[in-house]
Amino acid sequence: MPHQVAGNAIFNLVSSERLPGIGLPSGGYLPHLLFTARNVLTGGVIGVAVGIAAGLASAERREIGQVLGPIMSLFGTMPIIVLAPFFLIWFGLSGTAQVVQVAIYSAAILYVFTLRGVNNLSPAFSEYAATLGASATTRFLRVRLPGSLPEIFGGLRIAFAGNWGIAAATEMLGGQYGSGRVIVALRSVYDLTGIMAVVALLAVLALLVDGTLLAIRARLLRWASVANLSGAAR
Amino acid sequence: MSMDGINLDGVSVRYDPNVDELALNDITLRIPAGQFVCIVGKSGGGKSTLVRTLAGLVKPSQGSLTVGGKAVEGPGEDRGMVFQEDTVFPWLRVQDNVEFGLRARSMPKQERSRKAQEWLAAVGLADAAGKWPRELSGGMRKRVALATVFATEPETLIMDEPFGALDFVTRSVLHSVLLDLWRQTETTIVFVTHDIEEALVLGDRILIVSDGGILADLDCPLPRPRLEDERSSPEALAITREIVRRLGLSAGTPEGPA
Repeated sequence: MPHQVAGNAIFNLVSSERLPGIGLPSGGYLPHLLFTARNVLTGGVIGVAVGIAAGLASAERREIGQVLGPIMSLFGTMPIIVLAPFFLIWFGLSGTAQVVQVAIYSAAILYVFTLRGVNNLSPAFSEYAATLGASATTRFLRVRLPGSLPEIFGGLRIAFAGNWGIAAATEMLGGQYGSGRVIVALRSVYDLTGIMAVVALLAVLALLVDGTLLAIRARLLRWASVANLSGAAR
Repeated sequence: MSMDGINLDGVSVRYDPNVDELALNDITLRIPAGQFVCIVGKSGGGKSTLVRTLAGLVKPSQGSLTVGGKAVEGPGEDRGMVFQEDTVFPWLRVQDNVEFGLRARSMPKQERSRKAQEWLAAVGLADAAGKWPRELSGGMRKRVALATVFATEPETLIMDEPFGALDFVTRSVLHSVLLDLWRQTETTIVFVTHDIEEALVLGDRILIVSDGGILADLDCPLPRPRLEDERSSPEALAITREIVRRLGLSAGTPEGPA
């Protein structure tokens, strides 16, 4: 029942009688959610930065794209969660595995979207800038970068939507902490309401992050609501 | 021979070094400073390649090209270009669009701001400075592009079917705007169009480009402004007929119906 899930989520948020009984600290769901959130945001920011930088570099230099393209599409196509056991062994259970996992996923997505953003931009914009006297640096900073921002924001939303699942699934596979760990523990005692409560709380956090991204997008891309970037004459 | 204006001497362009086909084939042409030259011809005939070469966006594989006495090595501050595509940057407000070329020339902020205002006024968009391009119509965005290019005070203005996507009335209005600016600035203009009527309204001279070469070089000495009467005068009709004949479109053409 929804009200039971909501009640469970609220009453177990900051302290819980239940968790110590299944081998977890008594601090409630919140510390675990914050742990997951920290991994999502840290890994997400690192991955997004790497993905955007790699995408822009590949768009500017064909040779870089030839090297990075196959690597990125490998990470983009394989189910990345199969790497989690390796990372958990290599990096231990402190959260680094989740951060790396999330970073790889975000980087693979942002790479594709950034590259597409630059490549879909009509070359006429850059040529026009060149005939107006803009240097290569200016053409990059004032033409290709802003012109690819709408696609980059599309990638950001998709990456951060997926990051929560990646982080929680990695936690399910190992570690003593995090919302994934709580779900596994609750499953062992068949506490479906508790599981749904944790999932609902994760969803709330994901929506908050997505809402923040949308707010930033609205500010940064005021120009873009119906702008035509592919260069078709109107 | 004066070195002013545009001089092409045996210019050829080959896009793919492995293919024999030439996009431009041994073009020798002289355009005196201040002339308004229109280029007509079929699609794929080399019109765009010719003007893109003038702009420095395409490198000649052979021959020499000078504009204002200087060899063309790439895009340069002495030449501006208006594209067929809608190239006004959607992510910059109109004012910043017009300042784009001035900023690239490191003009101080106040001066370029004032100058952008002047050119926006000159194209009839004084009130649009703070707007985003998406808030303007296609014709108004072309005015922004004109203001942007003219603000950089190029000696030569290259226009590649700039008004091709606009409706007849908008295009006619932009013709008068462009002709006014041309008269005031004495810029050399090379204007590609697929529309014979447009060439008749604008050009001092009409080049027909076909298969990478210049098929005909016609004078167009009609009195300006070229309103309905001038455009339907016997002289104008003779030029039209000549262009149509040269393009292989007159009745009984051996190529048959398209």
